[in-house]
Amino acid sequence: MTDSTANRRDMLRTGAGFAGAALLGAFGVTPAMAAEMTMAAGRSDKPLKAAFSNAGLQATWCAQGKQAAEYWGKLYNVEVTWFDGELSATKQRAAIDDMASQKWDFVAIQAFGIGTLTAPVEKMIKAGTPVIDMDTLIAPLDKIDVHSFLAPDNEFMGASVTQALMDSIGGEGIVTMTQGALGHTGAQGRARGFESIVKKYPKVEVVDSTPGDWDVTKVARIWETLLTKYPKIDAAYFHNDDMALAAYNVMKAHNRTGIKIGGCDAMPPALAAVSDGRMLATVRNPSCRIHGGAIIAGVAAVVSGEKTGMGNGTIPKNIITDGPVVTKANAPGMMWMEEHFLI
Amino acid sequence: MTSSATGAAAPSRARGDWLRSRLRNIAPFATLIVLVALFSVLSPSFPTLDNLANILQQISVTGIIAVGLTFVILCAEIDLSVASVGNAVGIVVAFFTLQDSSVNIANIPLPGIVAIVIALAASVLFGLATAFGMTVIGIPSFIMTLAMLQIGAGVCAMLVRGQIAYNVPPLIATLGNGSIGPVPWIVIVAALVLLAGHVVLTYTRFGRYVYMTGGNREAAEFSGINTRAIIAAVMVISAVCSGLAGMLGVAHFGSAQQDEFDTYLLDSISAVVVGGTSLFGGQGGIGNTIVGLFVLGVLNNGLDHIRIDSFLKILIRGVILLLALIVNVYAQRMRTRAATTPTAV
Repeated sequence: MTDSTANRRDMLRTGAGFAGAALLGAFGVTPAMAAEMTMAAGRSDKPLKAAFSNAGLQATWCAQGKQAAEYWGKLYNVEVTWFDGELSATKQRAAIDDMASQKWDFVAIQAFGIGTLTAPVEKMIKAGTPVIDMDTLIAPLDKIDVHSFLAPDNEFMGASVTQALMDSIGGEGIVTMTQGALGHTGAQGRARGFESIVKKYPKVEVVDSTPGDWDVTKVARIWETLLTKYPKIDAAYFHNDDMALAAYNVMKAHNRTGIKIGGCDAMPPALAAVSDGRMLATVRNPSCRIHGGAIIAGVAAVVSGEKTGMGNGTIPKNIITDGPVVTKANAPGMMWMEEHFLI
Repeated sequence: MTSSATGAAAPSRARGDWLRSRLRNIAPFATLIVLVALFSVLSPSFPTLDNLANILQQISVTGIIAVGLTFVILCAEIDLSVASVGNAVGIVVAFFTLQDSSVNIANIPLPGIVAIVIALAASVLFGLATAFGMTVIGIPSFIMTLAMLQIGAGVCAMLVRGQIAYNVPPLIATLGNGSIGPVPWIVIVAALVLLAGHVVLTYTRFGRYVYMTGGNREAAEFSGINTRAIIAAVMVISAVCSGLAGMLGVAHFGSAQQDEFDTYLLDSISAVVVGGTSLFGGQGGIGNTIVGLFVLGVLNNGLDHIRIDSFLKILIRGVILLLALIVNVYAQRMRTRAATTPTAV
C-alpha cells in the first residue's frame, strides 16, 4: 500500500514535471534551463528541518511571519517547527534552550529581548547550525557569529512616515509620537527617525512622546489624556499600527478624527485604514520578506553551502529589508503582496 | 454482614482513607510520571541528559522564588510582588556594575561585592516594606503585594529607563551562567535554597510556627505564637529569595531590563500550588514545590519537543494546570470531610 501510494505520488510528480516542462517550453525555456533554474532557486531534494522563533505569536506581525515562513518552507521543502516567544524574554529563552537541544538544518530567530538568547544561540552556532537573525539583534553583530541578520532600517521607517505627516500638515503644527517599548531596538530606531525629520521643521512642536509599550489599552489611556490636554493636535506618529488604530478609536469617540495618523508595519488592518482615510500613512515592516528570506538564506546555506561574506555566492552579514511608505495610492497593491507573502 | 466480610472491608477502607489523605501529594507526582512517560514516547530528544540539564536550568530561577513563596502560601498569604522584586533587585545589581560604553544608563559602578550587598539589602528592604504594610498597618497581603509589584516595576523603570544593562559582578555571573563540570551553578544554588527551605520548615521551631500560623491563626495565637512576626519574617524571606533569583536570572539570561521576569509570578505560584501546597495554608512544603516545579518544567519543555501547533501549546498548558488545581481543591475537601466524619467503631 505504501509502495502504491509512493508510485502514485511519483507518477503525479513526473506528470507535474512534464506539465512544468511543457509550460516552460511554451515560454521558450528548455528542460536544461529549467533544471538550472531549479538549482538556482535552491530547493532541497530531501526535506530540511528548520526551527523558527519570533517574539510572540500574539502579535499580528509575528503571526504573519509564521505563515510566511511556512509558505516559503513548503516551496523550498523545509519542515518548519515553531518555538513561540510568547512576548516574554524568559519564555523565549526557555524555548530557545529547548531548540538548542535538538538537531536542525538551520534556525531563524527574532529575539524578544536583545542579549537574552546569546548562550543557546552560540551553542547552536558552535554545533555548525546556521542561525539567521530576524528583525531584532540577538546580540550585537560583532559579538555573535550569526549567518545573516535580516532586518529593516527602523530609522528609515520612522523618518519616512514622519516626512509624510510633515508634508500633510504643511510643516507646522502640534505633533505627538507614541513610542513602543523604550528598550526595543526597533522603537529606538523609529524614534531617531522621527526626531531627525521633526528637527527640520521649526514650526512643529512635539508635545508628547510617552511610550505606549505596544500595549493598546495603555495607548487608549494615554490618548484619552492627550485629547483632553491638547485641544489641537495636527499629527500623530505611532511606532506600530496596532497602537495607531487603538488611538484612532479614542479620537473617534472624542470627535477628533481630523488628526493625521502615521503608523508602522503596514499590517492588513492598517492598510484598510489607510485606504479608507482613517490613517494617513504607514510604512511596511516586511514580515513576509524577513521570514521568507530566512527560509531562503537557510536553504542556500545548507544546500549550496552559501557562506557569510560580501562576494558572489555569499550572503551579507546584514541585509536591510526595508518596505515602502504606504499611502492610499499603493495600499491595495501592498495588500495583494502581503496576501501572497511577498513583502 | 459477617464478621469476616467486615474484616476484609476494613483494610481496603483503610487503604482508601490513606489514598484520600495522600491525594494532594500523590496526584502531582503521578502527573509528573505520566508527563515524563508521555514525552519520552513522543519525542526521542526528550529523554536525554542534555535535555534534563535544560529542564533543571529552566526551573532554577522559578525554584528559588518558589521557596520564599512556599513559606508565604503556607501562612495562607500571597505575594504578588515576587517577579517584580526579583526584576528590580537584578536591575539594582547591574546598575551598580560597570557597563559597556554602549549602554546608555547613568549607572554607578561599584566593586562587585558592594553591588551584591546593596542588591541583597534592597531585597530585604522590599520585604520589610511589605511586612510593615501587612503586619503594622494591616493591609491584606493581596493588596499590599500588588502595590509592591508596582513599586518594584517603578524601581526597574527608574533605573534602566527603557535601556538594557548586560554586566553583573563576576560572582553573580559565575553563579548565574557558569558551571562546575557539567552541572550549572544556578542548579546547585537552586538545590541549596530548596534544601535550606525544607530544613527550616521541617526541623526548626520557626518552621512549625509557619505551619501553625497558616493552619489555624487563632489557635496559633492562643498558643502564644507571635503570628504577626511570623508573617513579617516570611515576607522578608520571600523578598530575599526573589532578589537572589533576580540577580542570578539577570546573569543567566545575559541582560537586565524592565518587565523581564513578569512570567515568573504565575510560574512560581503555579509551581507551589500544582505541587500540592494548599492555597488555604498549613499544608504542603518544599517537597511539594519541587514536584510542582518539575511538573511545570517538564510540561513546558516537553511541549517544545513534540510537533504540535504553537497556538495549542498554551491551551494544553492551561488545561493541565487546571486539572492539577481541581485535584488540589478536591483533596482539600476530602481531607476536611475525613476530619469531620466520626470514626466507625
